[in-house]
Amino acid sequence: MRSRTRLAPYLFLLPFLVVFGGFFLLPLVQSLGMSVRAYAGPRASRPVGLAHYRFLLVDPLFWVAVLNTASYAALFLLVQVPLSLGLALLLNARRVRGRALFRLAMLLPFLAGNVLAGVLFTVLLAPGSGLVNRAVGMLLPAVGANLNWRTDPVLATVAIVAAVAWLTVGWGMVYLLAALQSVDRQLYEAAAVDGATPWQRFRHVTLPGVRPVLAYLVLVGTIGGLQLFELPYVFLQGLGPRLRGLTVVQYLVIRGFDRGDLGTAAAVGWVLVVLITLAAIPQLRRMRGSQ
Amino acid sequence: MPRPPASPPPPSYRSAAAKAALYAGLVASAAVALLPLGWMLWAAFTEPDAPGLTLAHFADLFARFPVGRWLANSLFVSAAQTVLVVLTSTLGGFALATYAFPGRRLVVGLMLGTLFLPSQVLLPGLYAVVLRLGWADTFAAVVVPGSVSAFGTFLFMQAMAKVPAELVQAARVDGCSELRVWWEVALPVVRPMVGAYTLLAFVGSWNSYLWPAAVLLDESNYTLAVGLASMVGLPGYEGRSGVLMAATLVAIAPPAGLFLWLQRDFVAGLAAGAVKG
Amino acid sequence: MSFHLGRPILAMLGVALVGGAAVAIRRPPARPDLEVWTFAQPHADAYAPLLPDVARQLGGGTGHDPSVAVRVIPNNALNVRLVSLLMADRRGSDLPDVVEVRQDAVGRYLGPPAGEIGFLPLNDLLATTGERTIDTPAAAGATGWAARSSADGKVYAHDGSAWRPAPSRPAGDYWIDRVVRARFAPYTKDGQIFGLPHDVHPTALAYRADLFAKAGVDLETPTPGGDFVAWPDFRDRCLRFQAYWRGRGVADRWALDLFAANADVLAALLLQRGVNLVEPDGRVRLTDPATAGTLAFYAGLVAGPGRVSADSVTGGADAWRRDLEAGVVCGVVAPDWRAADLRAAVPGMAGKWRMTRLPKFDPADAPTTTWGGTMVALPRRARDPARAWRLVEALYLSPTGTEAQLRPPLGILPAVPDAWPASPTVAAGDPLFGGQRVARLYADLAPQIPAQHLTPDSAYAVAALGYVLSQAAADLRAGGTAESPAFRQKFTAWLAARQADVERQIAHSRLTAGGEREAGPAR
Repeated sequence: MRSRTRLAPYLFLLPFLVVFGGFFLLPLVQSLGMSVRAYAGPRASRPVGLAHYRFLLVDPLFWVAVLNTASYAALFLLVQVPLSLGLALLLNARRVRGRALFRLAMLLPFLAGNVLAGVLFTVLLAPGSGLVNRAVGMLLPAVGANLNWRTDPVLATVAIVAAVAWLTVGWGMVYLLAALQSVDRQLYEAAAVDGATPWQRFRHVTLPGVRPVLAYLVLVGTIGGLQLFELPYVFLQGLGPRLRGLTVVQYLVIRGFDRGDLGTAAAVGWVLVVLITLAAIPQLRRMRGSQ
Repeated sequence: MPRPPASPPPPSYRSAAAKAALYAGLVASAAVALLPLGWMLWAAFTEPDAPGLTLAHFADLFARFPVGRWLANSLFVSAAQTVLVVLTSTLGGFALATYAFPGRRLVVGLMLGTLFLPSQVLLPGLYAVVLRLGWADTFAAVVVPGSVSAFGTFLFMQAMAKVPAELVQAARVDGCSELRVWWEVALPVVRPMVGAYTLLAFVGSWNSYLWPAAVLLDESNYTLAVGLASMVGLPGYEGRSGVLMAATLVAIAPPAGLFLWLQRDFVAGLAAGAVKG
Repeated sequence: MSFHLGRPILAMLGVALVGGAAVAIRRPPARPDLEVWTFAQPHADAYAPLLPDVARQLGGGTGHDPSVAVRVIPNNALNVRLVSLLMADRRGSDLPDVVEVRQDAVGRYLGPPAGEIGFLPLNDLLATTGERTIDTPAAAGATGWAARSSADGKVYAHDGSAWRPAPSRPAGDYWIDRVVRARFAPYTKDGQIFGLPHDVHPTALAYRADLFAKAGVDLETPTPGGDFVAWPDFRDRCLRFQAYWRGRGVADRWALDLFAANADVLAALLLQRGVNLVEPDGRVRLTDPATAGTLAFYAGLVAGPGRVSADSVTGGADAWRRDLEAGVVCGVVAPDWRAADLRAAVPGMAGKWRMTRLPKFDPADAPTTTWGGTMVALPRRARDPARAWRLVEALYLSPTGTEAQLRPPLGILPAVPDAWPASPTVAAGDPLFGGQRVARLYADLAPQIPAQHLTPDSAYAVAALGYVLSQAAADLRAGGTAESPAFRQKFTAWLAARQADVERQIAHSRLTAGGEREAGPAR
C-alpha cells in the first residue's frame, strides 16, 4: 500500500502535467523565444534581440491600445462592481420573494459570452431598427432613432462598457450575494442596538464582510478587462472610431494573424503579461494583507 | 435566550415605499438583464413590419450557412473538452490535496505562478507547436490544449482538501484502490463544485473565439462562436437582424439548457468559492 | 454505483464519443480539382455560369474535365486563413489554386523578401502566354499594339489607324503588354509580379443631374482658364447647390458623400495627384506639401462651414440607400464598382443620375484615379500552377470572362483593354444615368489611371492619414477654420507625428524583410 500511495499521485497528475507542459509551458517558453526573432514567411527568421520590444515602446498605436484597454478595464470596474454590489444588497434584503428567480434572470447574460454579446448588441444598437435606438427616438425625438453607436467614439465606448456590464454584473452579484448571506446576522443586530445608521452599518459591517469577494472581483475584472478583445472586435468590425476598438489583444492579433508577424505578436503577449502583473500585484498584496 | 416576539411592523408609509422601491429596482434590473435576450427571441421569430411569428429566419440561416455543422462541431469540441478538463482537474486536484509527495510544491508553484497569465501570450508559441504537430485545422488543436486547466486543478485541490482524512484512510483499509478513493470518497464531497465547474468549463469552451478562430481554417470546421462572428460583417445582413438573432439563439440554447440543469450546483459552487474568498 | 461527476458529464461523454467517432470516420470533403477563393459574392455570381465551359476547355477534350469551384469566404476570414496556410507552409490541395485578394489586404503578403512571398511570380507566364491574334486587318486596335493574324500567321502592328504587317516584331503582344501596365505596380516587388489585376477601377463622379439642374448648378463646365473643373470652384458650385435647396427648406441635402471617418477617398484623390503614401523606395509622403494641402482642403469639404458632404456611408448600406433615395446624398465619388453599388441600391432612380469626371487640384493631376481592386494570385505551393494559370486565362482574361465581368450587375471594367471596344456593354447606355454611356467613360479614363504602389505598410499609412483627417474634421466642427494659421500649425504637427509613426513602422517591417532563410517556427 505504501508503494501504491507513492506512485498514485504522479499517475493522477500525469495527464495534467503532460498537457500542461506540452501545451502551456512549452509554448510559453517558445513565445519568449519568438519574441526576439523576426519572421518573414514560414522558413525565414532571424534573431533581432529586443527590437520588437523597443518598437512597441515607441509605437503610438500600441500605446493607444494600452490606454484604450486600461480605460476600458477601469470603466468596467467602475460600472460592474457597484452595480453587482447594489443588486446583491437588494436581493439580500429580508423577505424578498422570488430571490432565486431574480438571481436566475440576472445570471442568464453570463452564458452569452463575448462574441454573442457583440452580435446581440450590434443588432440591439443598430441605427433605426435597433431596440435602443427606437426607444431613444420615442423618448427623445430631438435625438432621433439614428444614433450610430459604432461610429461615434463616445457612443461606441458606452456601448462596449454596457455590453460588458450586461455580461458580468449578474455574475459578480452571485458572488457578492453569497458573501452577504454569510455575514453574521448578530453583527447587524449588535450594530442596531448601538444605534448605527444604515450607512454606518453598511460601512462597518457589510463592507468588511464582503471585502475579500470585492477584492477578488476587482482582480478578476482587471485581468479580464486587460484581455478585452472579442467584444469590440465583433461590435466595431475593425478599429472603430478614433481607434476605440484597438485593444492590446487586438493589436496582437493584427500583428500575428493578419500580418503574419509572429515575432512582434509574441512580444506583445509578454508586454501584456507585464501589464497584468503590474495591475495584479498590488491587489494581490492587499488581498493577502486583508486576510 | 429566546428573543422577544417581534411586534408586527407597523404598516408605515416608509416601509411600504421602501418595499416598492426594492421591487422596482429588482424588476428593472432583471428587465435590463433579460431585455436583450427577449429582443433576440422576438427578432428571431418575427419579420419586421409583418404580423405573426415566422421560422423564415431559421430557414434562411440553415440554408445560407453551415450552421448545423457548426453546432455539431461546437457540441463535440465543448463536450470533449469539458469531460477531459473535469477529469484531469479532479484527478490532479485530488492528488495535490491528499498526498504528500516530492515535487508537489513545484507543481503547485507552477500552477499558481501561471494562474493569472493571459492566454494570449501563448498564442504565437502554441500556434507554432500546433503547426509542428500537423494539427492546423483539426479539432485536436482546440480540444487538447483546453483539456487541462491550472485554475480547475487548483479549485479542486482546495475543495478536496476538505475531504476528511479518516474517510480516505477508512476506504483504503476497506481495500479500495486509490482510483476508487477518488471516485467513491472524494468526488461525492465536492459534487456541487463539480457541477459548477462543469458549467464554467462548458460555457468557457463554448464561447471561446480567439484560439479556435486562429486554428480552425475551413468553414466546415468552425465552431458556432467563430461562425457567428464571421456572419456579422457580411453585407446584406445589416438590416436583416432576424437571421443574426436566429443564429444567436441557436448558439445560446445549449449553454442555457446546461445552466438550467446545473444552476443549483452552480450557485452553491460559486457560493462555496466566494465565501472562501 | 452512481456517477459522481454528475449526469451532465455523462451526457457530454456520450456526445464526445459519438462526435469523436463521427469525426474519425468522416471522409474529408471531396476537393474540386481547381478551387478559386474570392471574398466577393458578386464575383462568384458572375463567374458561375462560365465554369462548365471553362472546365471543358481545361479538359481539352480528353474526357477528364477537371472540376472547378469558386468559393466565397468573407474577406477577413479569407486573409487570416491564407496567411495561416502560407505561414504553416501548407502545400497542395490545402491551398486554393487561385485566390482573389482585396486591394487593402495585398500589402501584407508582400512583406517577406521576394523569394519567400507565398505567391507565384507571374512574369514568365505573362511574357509567354496570351499572344494577341486578329482575324482580319480590320480588327479593332490601338497605336503600338502587335498581333498575329490567324489568317496568314504573320505579325501585324497597329499604327493608330490600321493594322500593318510588321516583320520586325517577333510576335504579337503577350499578356504582359495586353494588361493595363499601371495595374501591375501594386502587386510588384523587386521586379517580380505576384498578381494579375482583376480590374482597373477608374474613378469618376456620379451626381443627381435632376436636382443640380433644378438648382441651376452645372458641375461639368470647366473652370475658366483651364480644361478641367478645379476643386475650389467645384466646392463653390456645391455650396451654391446646397444654398439653393436650403432656401427652399431642404436642410439635409448634400452635394457629395465623402468619407470623413477614414481616408479611403482622400487617398484616392491623393493618388490622382501622383502621391502614393508609401512609395516603393519606402519614402513616406504624409508631410508632403501636396498631401498636406489636399488634406486641409478635403477636411474643409467634410466639416466646418464649407462642408459639402454628408457622411452617409459610415451608417451602413441601408443608411446609404435611404440617403440616396431621400436626396440627402446627391453626389458620389464612383469607381466602376461603386457605380454598380449605386445601380443595386437605387434601381428606381433611373434617369436621375449623371456621371462626370472628377475635379482636379492642378493641371498636372491625372484626370482620374483608382480606388479599390482585386489581385488574382496563384499560391506558389498549390497543386498545379500551370493548370491554375490556364484557369485564370479562361476566367479572367478570355473574351467571355471579361464580358461576364463587365456586364451588370458586376459591371467592372477588366484590366484587358482589348475587351473594351469589342464589348456590347461598353457600347450600351446606362439606364440609371439616363442612357449615358458610363462604361465608355470608364474605358476612356482607364488608360490614364495613376500607378498605385502597395507596401506592407501602405494600409498603416492610410489609417494614419485617416486619423489626422478625423482630428482635422473634429477641429473644424469645433469652430476652427481651415485657412487659419492656428489650424495650419496644429495640422502640420499632426501630420509630422504620423509621418514619424509610419517611418518607424517601416523600419520595423524591414527587420522581417531582411530575414535570411533559416528554420522557422514550422516545417
